[in-house]
This record gives sequence, structure tokens and C-alpha cells, in this order.
Amino acid sequence: MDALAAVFIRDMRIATRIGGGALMGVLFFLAVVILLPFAIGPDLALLRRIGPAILWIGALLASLLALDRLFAADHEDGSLDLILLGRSPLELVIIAKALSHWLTTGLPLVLVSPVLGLFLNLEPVAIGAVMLTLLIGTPALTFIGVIGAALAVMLRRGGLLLPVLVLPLTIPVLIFGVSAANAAVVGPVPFATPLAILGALTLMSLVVGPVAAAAALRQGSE
Amino acid sequence: MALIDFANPSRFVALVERVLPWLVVATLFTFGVGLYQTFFIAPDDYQQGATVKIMFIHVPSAWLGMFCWGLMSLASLGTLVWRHPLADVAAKSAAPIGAAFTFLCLVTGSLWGRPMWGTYWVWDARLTSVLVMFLMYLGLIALWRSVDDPARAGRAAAILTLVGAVNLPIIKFSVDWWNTLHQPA
Amino acid sequence: MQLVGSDLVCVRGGRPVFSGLGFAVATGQALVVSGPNGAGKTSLLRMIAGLLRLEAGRIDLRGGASELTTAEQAHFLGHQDALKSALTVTENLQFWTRYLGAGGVGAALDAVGLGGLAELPAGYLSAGQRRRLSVARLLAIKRPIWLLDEPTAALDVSGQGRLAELMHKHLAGGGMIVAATHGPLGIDADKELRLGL
Repeated sequence: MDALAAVFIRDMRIATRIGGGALMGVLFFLAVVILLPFAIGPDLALLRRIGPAILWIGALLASLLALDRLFAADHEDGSLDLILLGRSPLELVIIAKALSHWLTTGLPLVLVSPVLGLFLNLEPVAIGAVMLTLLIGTPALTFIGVIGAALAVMLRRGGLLLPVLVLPLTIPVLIFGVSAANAAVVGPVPFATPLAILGALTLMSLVVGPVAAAAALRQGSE
Repeated sequence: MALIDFANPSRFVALVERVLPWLVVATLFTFGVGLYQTFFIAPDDYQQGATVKIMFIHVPSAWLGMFCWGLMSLASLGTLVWRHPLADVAAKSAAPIGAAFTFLCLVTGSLWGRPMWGTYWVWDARLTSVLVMFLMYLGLIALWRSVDDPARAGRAAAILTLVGAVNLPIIKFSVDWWNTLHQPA
Repeated sequence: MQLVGSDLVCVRGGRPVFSGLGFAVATGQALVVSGPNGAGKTSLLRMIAGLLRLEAGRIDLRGGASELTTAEQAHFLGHQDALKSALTVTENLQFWTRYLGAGGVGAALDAVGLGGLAELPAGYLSAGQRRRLSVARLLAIKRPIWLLDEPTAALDVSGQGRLAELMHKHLAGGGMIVAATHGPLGIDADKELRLGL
């Protein structure tokens, strides 16, 4: 446990000292949310209806942005080799890294989403629903994303291919996240149903993501 | 010579060189027979008319698209667990074939849907999950090409294939789990 | 404790780099692996560390802690230094001691002469200082097997001398060393392995 806490603290320290990761994600989120109304037009009623979807897509793309450095940095400076020599299971190390990654890139997106919801003319219930679904769903995006990040270690130009590989796997999270947010506003499905499925997706990705990523990192170290 | 002897790559290559021309002929022949039966022997549906014949291409393409992913998943196990070189070869060859049949399935289904449902596309669970499988096929093929060392590419692709295999039961049961426009299987 | 390898094969890019390789090194001994670039020295070290899968042959550790794998009893000093520029010297070393298990950060830094730079961000270190920090990592984390890949690279003469001293101490204290190198290490090689023809 001490080893995992050390990994978590180290990653948090690096992320907060180098900075930029959270800001970059938030700025990209902002860019997506601002560009879409320019393209769609200022019809406020329309924006209110599709607002949760726009916020979710922005959060999804912003999450993918920061992923490719997750393991690549450790691979390049030789830290990954030493991490593989440790006595903690690699899967748990990956969970520790993913957790620190979510806290520094995913959570800022969740916290910024109410402000962006105002740009899209969302009512308070909708903003609350979107925030909650993002809070539950962005960890799933991170845990699924670590699979792509681990595979990207093996690729030369990994950054380009990573979103292509990860996006199809995140589609269920997107579908249920938006469905839950819409259910809170419009019904007829009760809010709890898609929210529960979203939570289930997060829990499943917590297991599947690190296991697949650990396998990919072990293959990639050779 | 036992069947297992063909797991030896050079024996397998020798076998393929002898057998491949016959397999090509057999494939073309069975395609020909199938298409002939589709267009000249199968009757028109009393409701759908001649458009039902698209089903004779659409359904097998769907099967083959999913079957190829299943085959690649088994091959991926062979790569990751046993490091067998033929497993890499099998997976790498199956990917474009599966992608092509999935594409054919989507296109023929879309052409069938226009007269029958009134639309080329609808975002229901079955169509969406098959489209996602097609995107994953393309991603997999891109992954194969972007790693220089073929052995490493094979291992990376193997992991992605196994993760993507979770889509197969979703496609199969999508028409049962959700209200979809697509017919139940 | 004895580390024994037999019938090892290394294939890179489809071409065999070495095959039928064997070695044996016991507690208190140093195995020096020499050879030109591309001969497979790093690959051999990575095989022992468990980072590279064995295509053929086996590597056994006889004696030693039976509940730990060979990798978990080895320490690897590779070409790169595994240092994060954003963290200070102390924080870098502390992370590895907490993760790989041991302690003695301050003493290790003093032993390599970096005691005065403890609070400096690692990004400001010179190449030689970074290498010395990696050696400090070897000291702080007590593992019996040292796998060293070109350990004297980037070290100046006094640095190399200090490293030789530390290697002698490690061997005297019951450790073993497998080192890949181009040039002299400053210690007597009990066993030698020449790769590449």
C-alpha cells in the first residue's frame, strides 16, 4: 500500500508542479463548448435540448487529450522498467496513476461544467445532472483511456492513434452519461436507471482497464 | 503427419501454397452458387418484393464480420499466451476480411433499410454497435501498421482485440436488450 | 545464492543476436558482460530482470527468498536514470525507496556526494550528477542482485572510482553483480561473458 501511495503522491506532485494538464483540458473543453453554438446557431431552445450532449462530448475529447503522456513519460526516462521491478501488482500501480490523472485532468472538467452549462442555457436541474453524470462517468473515461495510453507506449506516433483506439470503447459511457443527464430533465425514464448503468460502466472499467493496460505495458517493455 | 505438425510455420506455409489455389476456386464457386440461387431461385417476398434478396448478402456478411472478430480473439490468445507466430498471421489476415464484411453488412443493410424503413440509417442499438465494431476494425488495422516490429504490433493488436471482443455479445443481444428498429435475430 | 542461466536465446527484429548462452554467478561474485554495441548485453540484463520474455532457455535463482521473483530481488541500472525533473533530488530517491522498499535516503546521497544538492530539482543536475543519483538509488534500496548496464557512462574518474568502491562493498556484503560494459569497471571480474562475434 505504501508503494501505491508513493506512486499516487509522486504523480500528483509532478502534475501540480508542471501544471498545464488541467488548464489544457479545461481550455479544450471550453473551446468545444463555444465552437458548437457557433456552428449550430444561437437558438437557445435547441442549445438547451442538446446541451448535456455538448458538455459530454467536450469532456470526452478533453479527457482523451491528456492521456498519451500518462505512461509515455515513464517509459522514456526508464521509470517504467523500475516500476515493473516492484513488489506491487502492476494493475494496482496503474489504478494509482489513473486516479491521480483523473484528479488532475478529469475533476477540473467536472468543476468547470456548470459555468459552461450557462453558455448553453441549461437550467439548474440540467446543470446538476450533467455535473453528477460527469463526476461518475469521467473516471470511466480515464480507466478506459489507460488502455490506449498503455498501447501508445508501443507506438512511435502514439498520440495520433490513441483517440482512434479509445473512442469506440468510450461510446457506451457517452451514451449513458447523456441519457442520464437528459432523463433528469425530460424523463420519461427515471434518472436513476441510466445513472446506475453509468456507475456500473465505471466500476467495470476500473477492473478491465488496468488489467488490459498492465498486459499492454508488460508487452511494451520488451 | 499429425494435424498438430502444421503448427510449424514452414510446414504451414508449404501447405498453404499447395492448397490456396483450390481454396480460391472453391470460394469463387460457392459465391457463384450462392448469388445464382439468390437472384434466380429464391422467390420474392410477398411483402418486401425483390429487396428481400439483399438479406442473402447482408446476414452472412454480419455473421462473418462478427466471426472474424471472434477468430482474431482466439488468435490473440495464441499470441499473448503461447507467442505462436501463426497466431499473429491469422489475426493480421483476418482483420481486413472482417472489416470488409462488416462494411458490406452496413452498406447492404442501409440499402435495404431505405425502401423498408424509409431511412438509410437509424441510431438504434444494433446498427450503432455494428458501426462501433467497424470503427474498431479500422483502428486495429491502423495499429498493425503503426508499429514497426511485427511481433510488437501483434501483441498490441492482440490486447486491443481482446478488449474489443466485449462488443460481440453487445451486438448479438442488442436487439433483445433494447427497443430497436432492427429486427430481432 | 546463485544465479544461473542456460540455453538463452535473443532474437531482435527477426534476427538471432545470441543463442545457447549460459552463465553462472554466485554471492560475492561479479559477472562482467562485454561486447560491441548490438551484441545483446542490454537484452541479457533485461532478461534477468524479467523485463524481456525468454524465447528459450531458463534463468534460475537458487537460494534467495523463495517467495519473491528474481526481478523482485534485483535492481536495474539502465541507460536512462528514471528521474523526474520536477521533483527534487530527495523526492526522487524517496519515491524509489518507498516504491521498491528500503530507506536510508540521506546516507545514500552522502555516499555518492550529492548530500549538498538534496533540495535541488533534479532537472538542474548535470549528466554525471544524474548518474550518481541513480547509483544512490542502488545504495538506498537493499537488493542482493545488481544489474548494471554501462554504469560508468557519464561518470568522471572520481565518480568511477567511487562506484568501484561501492561495488566492492556490495559484493563483500553478500550481493552479486551482473554488469554490461564497454570499458573497465574498476573491479575484478570473477566471471566474464563476451557477446557478439
